[in-house]
Amino acid sequence: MSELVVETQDLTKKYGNFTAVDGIDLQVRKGEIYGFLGPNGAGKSTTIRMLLGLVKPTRGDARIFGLSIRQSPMEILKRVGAIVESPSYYGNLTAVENLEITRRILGADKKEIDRVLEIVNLSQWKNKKVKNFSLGMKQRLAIAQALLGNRELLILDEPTNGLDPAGIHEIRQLIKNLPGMLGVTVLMSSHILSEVELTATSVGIISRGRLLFQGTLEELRRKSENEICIEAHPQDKALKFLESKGLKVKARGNRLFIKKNSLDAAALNRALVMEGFDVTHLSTEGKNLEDIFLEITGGDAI
Amino acid sequence: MRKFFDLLWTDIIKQKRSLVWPAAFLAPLITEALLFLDFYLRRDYILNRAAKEGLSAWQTLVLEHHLTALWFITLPMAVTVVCALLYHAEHASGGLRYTLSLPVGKGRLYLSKWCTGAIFLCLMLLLDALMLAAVGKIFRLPGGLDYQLIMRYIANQTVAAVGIMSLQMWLSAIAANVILPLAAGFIGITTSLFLAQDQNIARIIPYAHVLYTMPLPGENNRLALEGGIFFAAFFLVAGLLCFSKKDVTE
Repeated sequence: MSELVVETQDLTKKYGNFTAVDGIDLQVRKGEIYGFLGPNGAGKSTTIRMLLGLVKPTRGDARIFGLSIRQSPMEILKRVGAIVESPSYYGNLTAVENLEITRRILGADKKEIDRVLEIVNLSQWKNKKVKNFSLGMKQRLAIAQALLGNRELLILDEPTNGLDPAGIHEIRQLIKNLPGMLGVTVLMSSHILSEVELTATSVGIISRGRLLFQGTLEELRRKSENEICIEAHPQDKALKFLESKGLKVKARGNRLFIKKNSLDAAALNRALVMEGFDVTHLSTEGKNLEDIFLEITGGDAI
Repeated sequence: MRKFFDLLWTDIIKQKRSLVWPAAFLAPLITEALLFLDFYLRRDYILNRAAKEGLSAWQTLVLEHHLTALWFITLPMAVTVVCALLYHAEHASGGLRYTLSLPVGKGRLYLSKWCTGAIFLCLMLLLDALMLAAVGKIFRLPGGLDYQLIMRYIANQTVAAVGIMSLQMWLSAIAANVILPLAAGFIGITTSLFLAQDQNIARIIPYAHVLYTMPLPGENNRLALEGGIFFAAFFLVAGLLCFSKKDVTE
């Protein structure tokens, strides 16, 4: 098992009677892109703020690089680059001046500014005031700020929020390349399922403050148990017949659904026809990630 | 310590091309322009009247500057605006949450902002003192330039204004909406105009202390100095504790 970079235990945040984050146990492994997925208001940003020490947990702890954020915030934050919610910048300053602020605080080398500008492809606009940047450029500058100083973990809260399709593609490619190019671990939150599917290697699904799933995308896909959908007449007798064969059958509308597992659809069809049923429809139905997500979150839209 | 100075340096760099500079320097410029006009129109009348009251020409200049040119209102207002703008830049751009996601610490950030405010206050008072002396020289006030008087005047104002600055820094740090610290400041300043007439009440209102900073005979400078030191320390500690415990949610 690879080394855990982020690990939370029973991490909880309450605001009065409202529980924004409810005892979550995140596990982010070294070198992976972890997609932290959930609908708006699910508790993603609050969790991220707790990981960065911006918000104090009501209960539980977050350990990053094996250190507690409660006890060693400075040691942790030196090694973590972050974008929280939206890119933070000083519009009156140029890109270089914005990065100089970060460089000074981190005590990083001056060459770092050119290095990170090169990575995010902003070198030619480095002396332009940031208030004149497009949203995509601001987002790239925020990533440059997060990368400055050879940080080992990037925490990116909705990094593609508000971008046009071209901008989303550009930022997505940049994030995907980071672990290979720089050896960093990335924790990115998003409320867009396809975004996480295209970028992340592992995923955590949060809804109403609770972590409902955590694992690799492959493990998530495995949850999509296919079903065989049958329309056979008379339906009630067909249902009884199938149940008598030891199958779990659900009737929805005028159709019957059976978990596929290792069941052979052709054999099933043959058995029904041989028994004298009129089979007017038979299909194998698989769930896509969105169906799985909705099933996991109990229908909370994304 | 070096890290703190690096942080302080970044706080000053953040003000490059920002509105803090005009906000800090417009106040002394406007006040000195009013003082210039005042002396241009009625120099002899002012000096004769003051002489009858036993004031020197330079003391009269300070009196006119402080009351007639409205510096006792302009200075607290400028301090209020500068403090609000220092934090507004952070709240508006998400700078606060970004800076605090770096290895900085809330306490150190608060102190750095406080020191930045103090630097702007000192620059504002220095500019004002230089222009005050220049006005005196332009109108050829009798007697040489009274350095001691002007130095005492700057020192009194600095101490009194730091009390206001500490309070405004606290309000500006905790309120994400810039209107709140500005409104609190302006209401405090205007109410203190009436309440400051009673020294017992003025003692407990930081906004009123600037009124008592003229180093002239009969003026209770002690009220301004004691109040300034007390409120500067009190609001600095209160702000520091409050900000350190505050969750960064905006």
